[in-house]
Amino acid sequence: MNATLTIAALTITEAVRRRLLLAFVTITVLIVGLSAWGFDRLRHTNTLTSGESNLAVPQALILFMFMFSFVLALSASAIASPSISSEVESGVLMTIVTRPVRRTEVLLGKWLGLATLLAGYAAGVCALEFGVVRLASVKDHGNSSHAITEIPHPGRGLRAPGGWR
Amino acid sequence: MSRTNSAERTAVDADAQSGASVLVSGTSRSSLEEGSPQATTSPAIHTVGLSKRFDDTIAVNSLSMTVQRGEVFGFLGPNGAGKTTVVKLLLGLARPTGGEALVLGAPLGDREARRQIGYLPELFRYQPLLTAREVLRLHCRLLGLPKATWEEEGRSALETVDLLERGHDRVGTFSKGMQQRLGLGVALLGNPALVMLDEPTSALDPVGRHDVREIIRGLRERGSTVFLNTHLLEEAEYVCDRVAIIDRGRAIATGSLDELLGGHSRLRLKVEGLGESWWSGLGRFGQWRREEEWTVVDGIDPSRIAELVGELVSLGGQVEAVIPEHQSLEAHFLELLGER
Repeated sequence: MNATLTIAALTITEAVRRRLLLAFVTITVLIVGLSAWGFDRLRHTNTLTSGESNLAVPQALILFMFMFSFVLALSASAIASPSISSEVESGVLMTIVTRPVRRTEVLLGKWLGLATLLAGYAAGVCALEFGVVRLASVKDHGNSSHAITEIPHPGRGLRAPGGWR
Repeated sequence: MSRTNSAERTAVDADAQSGASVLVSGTSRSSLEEGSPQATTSPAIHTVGLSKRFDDTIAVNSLSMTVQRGEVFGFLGPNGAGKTTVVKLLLGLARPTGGEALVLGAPLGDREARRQIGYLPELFRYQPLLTAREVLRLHCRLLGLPKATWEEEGRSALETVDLLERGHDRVGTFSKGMQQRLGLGVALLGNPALVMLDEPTSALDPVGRHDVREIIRGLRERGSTVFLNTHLLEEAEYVCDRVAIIDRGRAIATGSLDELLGGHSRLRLKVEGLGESWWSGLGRFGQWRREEEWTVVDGIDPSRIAELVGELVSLGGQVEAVIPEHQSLEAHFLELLGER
């Protein structure tokens, strides 16, 4: 278990220091910023009634998070898939597996580290997105909060607008 | 493969492919941890008929050798001879297809035995985003060393390999030579009983090579066994107590340098005042040949050099030079490989 945690900590440390993560964070902030602008425009447009706006905001948020889940899955694959093969090829892993560790511990540690990192990233992005939606749709906090609470359950979210009327 | 906890080697697994047997269980972990007689008196490495086959290619062919504790053992051979494959087998990174082997009295791949093995791979690469100290700390953790010792172990290793001032720099900024030094430092962590060095000076300059030789001598002084895998024969001549020469996966010569080279003394003579007739008498001392003004006698017994010189003088010769030469390991190596 100790070896697994050691490899997990190593995986997180290395990932955090990679420029790839910095690029991810930068792009994420940009996208969340753009979505905030979009939600603000949606809320303040004169072409929608307040009811239509209440309908559009949660739907747009659901769409955004749905797309984000795809991006997250692809990013996870992109980060995780070469993590072991590249270390085998470069020889980095050679020095690890000659230590008193099982190969399963190395695999588990890699998985745990990447899973922790991605879960943290997903939680951070969700919190950020929910925060900006709340700020961008401040006219009626109740409605925006309502929209946010529907996000983890897209099916319910799609039914929700009918319920609001 | 099955595994038992018996204190003795108990099980042999029949290898389906070659028909040879592979040792699969052996010394219990506790015996190694507690430094039992078996753990401290068994050879550092013992192989009997160790073999590794990759499809149609035989990488290691029935290799039998013993490396005693505390000696510096040179494992020599040309490129592609199977040296690195043997190292991988001994470290448990690859499974043998035949034969038996014990490392520090334990079967191949034993986790507790690996705790006492330091290894510098031929393709040394360390986490480029970590600092040298972080890499050493990582290996201290993986070795299970007490946390209180990590800093001192790291500092000591960096000092030994002359990287103390670069300890806080990322490995990615290191030159190849510095990475190899770091790898050597990693191999020294935890005062290992067995240090396996695979071409440890391949990226080093002459100063670095000299330093590595000194480190190897230091390891021998403190009682560690060093398994030096190299094709640099000069390196082996400087530091090794015994060597094995391997070719096409098979050991073609094993022994101390004296044993390997002792029977190959050569004498170079410069004698004036004697006719051609005296040469015929040289056959008793060894094979002779002329090289311009020099006469070279191969295979002469060093104890008979004085007798030869005395005979030449008694025949009226003026002996201007007598130069005993030992055959270099390289010459012997080439001779064994039939490339000469």
